[in-house]
Amino acid sequence: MQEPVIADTKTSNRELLDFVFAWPAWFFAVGGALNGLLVAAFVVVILMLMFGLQFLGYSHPVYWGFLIVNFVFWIGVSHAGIMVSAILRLTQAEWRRPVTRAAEVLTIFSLLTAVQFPLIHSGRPWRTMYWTFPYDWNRGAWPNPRSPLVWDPSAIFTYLTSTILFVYVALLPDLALARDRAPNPVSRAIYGVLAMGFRGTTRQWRIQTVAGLLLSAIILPIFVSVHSIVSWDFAVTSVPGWHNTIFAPYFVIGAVHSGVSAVVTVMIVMRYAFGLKRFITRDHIDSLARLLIVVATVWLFFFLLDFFFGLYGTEPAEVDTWQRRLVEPPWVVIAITFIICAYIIPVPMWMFRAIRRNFFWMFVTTILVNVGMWLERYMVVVPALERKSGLTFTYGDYAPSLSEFILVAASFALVILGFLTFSKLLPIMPAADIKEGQILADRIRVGRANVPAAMRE
Amino acid sequence: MSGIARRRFLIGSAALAGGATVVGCAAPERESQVQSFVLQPELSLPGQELWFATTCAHSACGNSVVVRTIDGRAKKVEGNPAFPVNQGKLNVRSQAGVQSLYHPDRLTVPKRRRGLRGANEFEDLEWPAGLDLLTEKMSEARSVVVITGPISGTRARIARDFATAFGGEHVVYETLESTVWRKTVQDGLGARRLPYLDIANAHSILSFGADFLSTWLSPTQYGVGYGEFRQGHGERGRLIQVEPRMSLTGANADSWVYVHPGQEGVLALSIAQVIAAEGLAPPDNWFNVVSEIGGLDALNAYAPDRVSERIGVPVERIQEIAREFAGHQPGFAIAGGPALASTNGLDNGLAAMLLNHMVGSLGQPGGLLPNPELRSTVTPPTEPTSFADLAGRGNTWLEGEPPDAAIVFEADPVYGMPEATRFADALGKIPFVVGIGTIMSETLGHADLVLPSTHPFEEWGDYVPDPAPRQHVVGLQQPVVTPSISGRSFGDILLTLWHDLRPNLAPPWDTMRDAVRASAADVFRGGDFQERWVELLKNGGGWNDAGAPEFRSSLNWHINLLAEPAFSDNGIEYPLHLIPFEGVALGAGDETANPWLQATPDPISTATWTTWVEMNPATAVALNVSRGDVVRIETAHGEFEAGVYISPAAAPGVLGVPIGQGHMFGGRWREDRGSNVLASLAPLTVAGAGGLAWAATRARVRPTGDYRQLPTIEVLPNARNDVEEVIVQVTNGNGDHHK
Amino acid sequence: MSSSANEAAARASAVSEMGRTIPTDAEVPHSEGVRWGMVVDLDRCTGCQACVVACQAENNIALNEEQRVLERRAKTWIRIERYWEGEFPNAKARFIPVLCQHCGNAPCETVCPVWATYHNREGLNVQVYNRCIGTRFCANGCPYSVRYFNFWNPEWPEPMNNQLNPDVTVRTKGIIEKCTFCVQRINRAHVTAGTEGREIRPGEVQPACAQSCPTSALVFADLNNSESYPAQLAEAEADRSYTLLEHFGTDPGVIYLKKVDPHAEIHEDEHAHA
Ligand SMILES: Nc1nc2c(c(=O)[nH]1)N[C@H]1C(S)=C(S)[C@@H](COP(=O)(O)OP(=O)(O)OC[C@H]3O[C@@H](n4cnc5c(=O)[nH]c(N)nc54)[C@H](O)[C@@H]3O)O[C@H]1N2
Ligand SMILES: Nc1nc2c(c(=O)[nH]1)N[C@H]1C(S)=C(S)[C@@H](COP(=O)(O)OP(=O)(O)OC[C@H]3O[C@@H](n4cnc5c(=O)[nH]c(N)nc54)[C@H](O)[C@@H]3O)O[C@H]1N2
Ligand code: SF4
Ligand code: SF4
Ligand code: SF4
Ligand code: SF4
Ligand code: SF4
Repeated sequence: MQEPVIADTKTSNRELLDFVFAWPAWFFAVGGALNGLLVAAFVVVILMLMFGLQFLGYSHPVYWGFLIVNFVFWIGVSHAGIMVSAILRLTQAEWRRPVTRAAEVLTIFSLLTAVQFPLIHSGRPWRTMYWTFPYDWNRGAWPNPRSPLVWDPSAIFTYLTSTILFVYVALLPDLALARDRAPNPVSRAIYGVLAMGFRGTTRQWRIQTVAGLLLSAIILPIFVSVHSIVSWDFAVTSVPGWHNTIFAPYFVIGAVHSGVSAVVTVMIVMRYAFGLKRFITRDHIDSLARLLIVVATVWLFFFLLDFFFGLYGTEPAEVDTWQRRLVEPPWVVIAITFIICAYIIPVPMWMFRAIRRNFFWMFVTTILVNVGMWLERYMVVVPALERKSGLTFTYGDYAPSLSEFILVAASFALVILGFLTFSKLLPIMPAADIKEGQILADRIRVGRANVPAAMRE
Repeated sequence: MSGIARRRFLIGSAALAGGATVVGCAAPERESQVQSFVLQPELSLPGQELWFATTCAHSACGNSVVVRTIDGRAKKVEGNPAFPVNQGKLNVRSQAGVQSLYHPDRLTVPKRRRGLRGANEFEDLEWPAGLDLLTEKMSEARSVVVITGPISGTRARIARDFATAFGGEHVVYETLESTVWRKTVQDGLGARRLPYLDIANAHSILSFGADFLSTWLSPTQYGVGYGEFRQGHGERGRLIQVEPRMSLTGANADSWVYVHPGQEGVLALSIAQVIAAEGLAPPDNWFNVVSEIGGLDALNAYAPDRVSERIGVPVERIQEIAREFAGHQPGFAIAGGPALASTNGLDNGLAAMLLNHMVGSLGQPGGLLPNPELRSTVTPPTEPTSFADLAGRGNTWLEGEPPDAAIVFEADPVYGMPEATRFADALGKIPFVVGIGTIMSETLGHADLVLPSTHPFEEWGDYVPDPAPRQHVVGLQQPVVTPSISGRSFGDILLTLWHDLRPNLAPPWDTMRDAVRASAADVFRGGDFQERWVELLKNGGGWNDAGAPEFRSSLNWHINLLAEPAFSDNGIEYPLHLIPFEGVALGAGDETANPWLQATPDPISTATWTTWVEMNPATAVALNVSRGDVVRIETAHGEFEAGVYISPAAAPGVLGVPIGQGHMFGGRWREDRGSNVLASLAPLTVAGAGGLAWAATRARVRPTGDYRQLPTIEVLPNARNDVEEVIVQVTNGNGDHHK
Repeated sequence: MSSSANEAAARASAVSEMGRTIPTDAEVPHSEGVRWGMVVDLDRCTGCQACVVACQAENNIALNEEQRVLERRAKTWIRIERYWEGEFPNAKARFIPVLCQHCGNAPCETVCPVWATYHNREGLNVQVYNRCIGTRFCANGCPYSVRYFNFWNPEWPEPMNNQLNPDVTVRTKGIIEKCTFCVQRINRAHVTAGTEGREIRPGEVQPACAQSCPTSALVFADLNNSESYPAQLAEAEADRSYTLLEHFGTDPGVIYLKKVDPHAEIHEDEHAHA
């Protein structure tokens, strides 16, 4: 069913590396706009560092809001990349080849973006930066192992490290390729160092392949743990609406839902932006959409479980929280919007093959999913804080400020910019992997038989 | 001449500077020498705390405090545990004393008016120039009126005698005055001093509008008693509060009873009728009293079924109150607030007094107890001038007979007198007005010369609490810190002028400190006075038991005198009752400069920093307004704006508005904030007592269409105990505590 | 060495031992040693707010300007919550002073990553401002919402800063603060008692709020000292004592006393008739 990409090595190399060495005009336009957003966010952050968090919309007792929502969102997006890539590698899915690199890079940049948020969200980032690490710096006190905020950095940085390793290993042959084709000595030197002497010897190929497979296997449990732990930021507290056992799998599957959707969005954009029409095909999108149908449905199931568990306990505070989330304005609007965006619109559409194979509709639906998933996190985090206990006197309301909108917008800019920058420096399509796919797909005539040109090890 | 004045002032302030830090516990005497800053005062060790007892003369409740000072700065005030009035406890206003001491907008130098009166255009003067001006103008004045807030003791005596020596008189201005209650006590009990409320031992209290837990007379003293009243003895005391607007005391009552404004007296007589008719108290107690003031027949006209409709209280409720009150004696009835601030306020008060005579707790533990007469005339308690008197004087001034000069100290009649009295104009007729105070006020803004006074924590004085705690008490006030500004105390300014301009009439002391010491020597005689004096300063004052005269056995009143209340309007054009009230923190507006007090939530609405109007939900629906909507409240005598607070406790047709905001003067936290409800009141007086009938104004409400979020501490509108009846259940859902 | 000196030595050494020996709630049985606590008699409390300003004055709490109140960022380590019941003419206002409950099982403590809030050996929920990194996680965890975040550095216009209490840190921006049970006063009492070679006497420590409270609705003492008045009070008044949000299992060190007044029933009846 999957149509192999057929091209000669030379063409492939050129097409895949074209963007790395070319400077299209739109690149500067988009880059400039994104940088503008980043500068705005930078100003906000500097102001926050200098004058405190007064610019945010937080108030007593709602002390968490947009920034934490955004953190959870980007951690979620970071999941899919790696999951898609690792699972597809492990299952040797042939169609994975053009998809993996984009997914992995998306993971790295959304992770790097995500970790900024708890940092700037804290009152004293300059200490948060290292005090939450599991080490007794000079304070005479190790961090508190009971706090999920100590688990978080450990899990996230383990994940970040392994992701970078994972991507790097996969990148080695392409770094070598870039080294060999770099137009000037400086970049050649840099790629050379990064390629760590990869020359394409059999031994090197073998090690590279095995390392990739091993890392795939290791990274899956890490990835499950990361979002579970993020969910425990909420689930281990006594805040009604937060302390639910279902939270870990619910968050993980939610992450996969939003992450895989993001991968689809990114691939469609790349197809047009980087001129990769030949590599990113309808088949790829179709496969991912099928995966999404399953993921979305499981996610909805967990969401409903969360809701029913809440009601089943009939604990008044829990029921109140759900009532606030699903009945009271403005939350009811947000609740309806997110269910519609993240499930009711996309999933029925994906049932149709024509839509699954239509780039435009897939682009729209996957964007909708992430709009919905962002709102879902917002709805999980905030209403619970607004109505925390029976002391109705301290019930609060939350209205995000302009600063928070800027910071959230800038987080998208940061991820996109990271992605673009990466694609300027390195092939965003795994050239070696794709070529391997082509070679595997090549057939030669041996006598009367038509056999694969290469044998799998 | 002015040179002499200046030198005296310098000596005086040097004495303060020295005295400030030396007179602590067991401090050496003889400190009035100019002290070099190089030589550190003996007691002041860096980081070492020193506690000075003094009187918080700022809030008129007469609390004695101990002030914690470190390195010469006042840090915290605590109640003086030795002092019999507040017994170590403090109310919210006394707690905030240090903040007015270190207020950034405190007056620091004399100011001379440059523009029109009240236009707030002043130029700063050096102290000598200010004093020269003062002496010059005063030497020309042949009649001087001295207007002060409710001061007492030596300070009051100096003000009084000074005014006399300068051919004038001393006027004591209280914003919401106690004159009606004083008259009620005189006519109802025959007592010259306010009675002691034995709250602690009472089993029931029936209060007609007296907000004694919040602002009425001596709330700290009453608070201490209230704690015991509730849980200090076997039988939990019960509190019945009758009033048109729920006060803080009403909020704490077991039974809160709404009554139409001005009908408290009728209700009191109706309760009396039930007591008589149902024999709830032995006739021996009451038969004679009732006979003397009109007899049972007159009383029977007030049977519940005959008055219920008129006063807005159901028949059964009246009977319940009577049984509850008379059935749980000892106890007492008091009246205050709106009950006494109606045109028939004195009658309302006396009708309430009748109940005390009837239940037989007068003079008994748990009832009203007589306070001792003064032991000495040198330290008089506050004797407020009534509103009618002051308004009358204002009229005289307006009509062309003003005194030559006025000295105003810690009194703000320009703010507090209804605009209809044209008091500001009257003051404007006085050729020379001197204002003395710590911070600008509306009245000081109308002065020709403003002199910064020392803060109560920086000066000498004494204070005679009234009501007294069944003892003869004089609270002493001593400087606890070196004045941080070059202020002079009010007493010192008067004494200096006096010596300079009327030396033959002047008293023997040069400074307030000498005067206070002399008064103390007079009141607390015997033994070595020097030792005594140090002891008095350590304790924050002196007190001794003194026999008290008995209450009179009947009332100087007749039931038939009970008048219908009169209002500013017949209720057609202005259909709503406007009930101003004092907040627990801001009082009548003198404390609004203080940010802690501005930020203290009103206990009922939890609102801060602004003027709001408490409105019944139905009234709000009828006016089509909701919480936070800005409305204009109009009376026949003025109008002002306020934000709507919808209160489930507000009666339909009654608007509760806090007093205190709406100042043009007084620093960053006070100016241009909220509105002054007092300005729009009708200048009606309480018949027979002369007080301002501040609850007799009718009003109407017009929505302005503006909305302004109310700065309340409660986040949601009206945080409610929806789940169950009681706090216990909101908080733990456990019904066991119900029983 | 007296046992309170021992105690002081133990407290002093806690800094260097920290990390290994910071006591968790599980490690410190609060039936042993000192457990500071407060009894709040709701029947006495009138809602007069004296405690609120007393606490502001004692603890250098920043000014709550109008804008702060509007933004709901006003800080009151103790606040008087007012709850309405019923409607006119049977409306009632109920007042509850709410301060940090110094929970024996404090949900705020477990979530703090840096031990900025932890349980000390005397039952206090301690807030170490220097350690706090301002995650506000503890504020989420606290069901009583008594933790307040500093959105800015506090400022006192000159010369108002003169009144600042030198025993209490002025908290900077970016950290959480809350009622400390006036720990500076407890520490002072420890020092005094230590110098005099004795134990802290019952009633020797009074937090600012309790000291001011006119009606003595707030009383403070070692709840484990059966001779202390609050301990006896809580015992004697067992039938009307409860803790706030008991079902959270936080084991508060603040005990509330309240019994329904019998008069409430009259009104209920009236309500029923109406
Ligand atoms: N045992 C012992 N002795 C030492 C030292 C030591 O370590 N141990 N250190 C030595 C050293 S390094 C030094 S610098 C000296 C310091 O010795 P000193 O100069 O004596 O220092 P302090 O005792 O800190 O402060 C002196 C006084 O200044 C007062 N003061 C504070 N502010 C003001 C102000 O604004 N105006 C005026 N007029 N007075 C003010 C304080 O109340 C205090 O009484 O001590 C020396 N002596
Ligand atoms: N609370 C408070 N703080 C203050 C002051 C105050 O009065 N109160 N005063 C201030 C003033 S005026 C000063 S000068 C400073 C002083 O502050 P520091 O300079 O910190 O003074 P010390 O604590 O006396 O000494 C510092 C260290 O030097 C060590 N030491 C002693 N002799 C020697 C030596 O020969 N060689 C070396 N290498 N180390 C040695 C001591 O053991 C001690 O650990 O403190 C300032 N800070
Ligand atoms: S009341 Fe809140 S802040 Fe205080 S100990 Fe309990 S959970 Fe922590
Ligand atoms: S805000 Fe401070 S005290 Fe609270 S959890 Fe974070 S670091 Fe700990
Ligand atoms: S002022 Fe003194 S005690 Fe405070 S940090 Fe500086 S050196 Fe340390
Ligand atoms: S115990 Fe101290 S810190 Fe806590 S509320 Fe009372 S005064 Fe404030
Ligand atoms: S000071 Fe006492 S009576 Fe007043 S509000 Fe506080 S706890 Fe209640």
